[in-house]
Formats: sequence, structure tokens, C-alpha cells
Amino acid sequence: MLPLVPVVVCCALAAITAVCVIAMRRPVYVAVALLGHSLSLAALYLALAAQFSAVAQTLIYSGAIVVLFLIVVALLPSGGAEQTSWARIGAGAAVLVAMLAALATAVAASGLAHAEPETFSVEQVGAPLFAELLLPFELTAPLLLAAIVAAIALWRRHEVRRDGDDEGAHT
Amino acid sequence: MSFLPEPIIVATAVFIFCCGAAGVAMRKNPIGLLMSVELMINAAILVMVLGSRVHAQPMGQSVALLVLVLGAAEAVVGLALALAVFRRRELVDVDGPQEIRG
Repeated sequence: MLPLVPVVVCCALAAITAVCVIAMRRPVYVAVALLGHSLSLAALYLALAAQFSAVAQTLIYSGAIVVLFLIVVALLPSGGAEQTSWARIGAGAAVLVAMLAALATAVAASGLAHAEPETFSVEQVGAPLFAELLLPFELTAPLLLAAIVAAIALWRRHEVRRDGDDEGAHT
Repeated sequence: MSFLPEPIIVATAVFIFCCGAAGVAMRKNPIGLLMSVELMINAAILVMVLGSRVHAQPMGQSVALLVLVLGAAEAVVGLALALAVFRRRELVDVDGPQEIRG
């Protein structure tokens, strides 16, 4: 049986911070809300006895991705409040209501089996990565490499074009 | 009536996913938009970890790790695009750039 109180607290924190992520207007606040969301999800994984997922979530999401977001917030010119229109907010609310209705119907129709709690060691979590999931696992390496090369290529193309503009302005 | 934790977690995941979808529809700032996508990925990972526990199989957590890596790659490319397009613009708005049309 899962401990109910920690699960409820972590779920509430995750839901509140998720609302903050879409409701806050300053990008820095949004990044901090995403950090809180990621950490509350890591705590929820601990309550679910999925220690490896909790550590991975903390390291990769809180440690790497949120920091990457913060760096880009600092680099972009407009760090100020976002100007959004009422039409956009209405569209977002419509999507929220429609998706909630659709997904709630789908989830309510599917039953949840209730198994005995089982804790998986890192060895047990890693075993499928070298058996059934070998191909996706190996494909993550070229995926990450392609992402790095794409990021550098996008940046370099921008730099080269800007240098060309500067030369054109001088001559 | 007693509350079971598993349905609460599924309901939370559904809510987080819907929040992310609403954020994608609502945001004009590319960073807020990418963060909403991250919310949706997080909700999917939460369901995978819960499914791994409910069905007593470690496969769910292994797939969750792969999805985590996928989210990292998506964030890198998305943020590089946002930087390349919006670094020299006054208005940071995803509806603004017309040169990447088509």
C-alpha cells in the first residue's frame, strides 16, 4: 500500500507548480516554477519507491534542463513580462477544458490494477535497456549527438550571417 | 470511502498534461512554450513510473529514462532555435517570425 499523505502532498505541489508554469508571466518565475514542479515529481517518485527515477529526474531535469532554460532566459533580449491577449488565454482555457474532459473520460473507462508494491533496484531497471530496449537505448546516443550538432549549427549560422552583415555595413 | 493513491496520481498526471497543452496554446514566449512541452513530457513520465509500479515491471522506469533523454534533446534544439530566431528581435513572440514559414 502506498503512503497516502506524502503522495497527496506531492501531487498537490506538482499540480500547483504546473499551474504556475502556465500562469506566470515573467520567464524567470516560470523557470523557478518548473524547478519546483520537477522536484515535487522527484519526491513523488520517491514515495512510489522508484528511487532511480527520482535521482534521474533531479539530476537531468532540475540540474540540467531547468538550468539550460535559465541561461536562455538570461540570453534572450526580452526578459520582461509576456504580452498575451485575451484570445490566447481563451484558446488555452478551451484546450484545457477539452483535454481534461477527453482524458478524464478515457482514464475513468480504464481500470487500474492494484498490485503489491515492489521496489526495483537500478540493476532491474537497467536490465531491459540491454535486452528488449537495446535499439531505442542505442538510438539515444545519435539522438543526443544530433541535438548537440543541431544546436551548434543553428548558433554558428547565426554568427556567420551577423559577421557578414557587419562587413556589409562597413564597406 | 477511502482514497487510493494510484487514481490520485493518474488524475494529477492528466491535469499536468492538460496544463501543458493549455500552455502550448496560450504562450507567446518561446521559452514558456517549451516549458509547457516539458510539463507534458513530465506527465507522461509520471504515468510510466506509476505503470511500472502497478504492473510490477521495471520496464516502465527504463522507458521513462529514455523519454527523459528525449526531453533533454528536445529542449536543447528548441532553445537553440529560440535563441537563433529571437536574439536580435525586440518582440519575443512565436507568431512574429515570418522568414521560417514553409
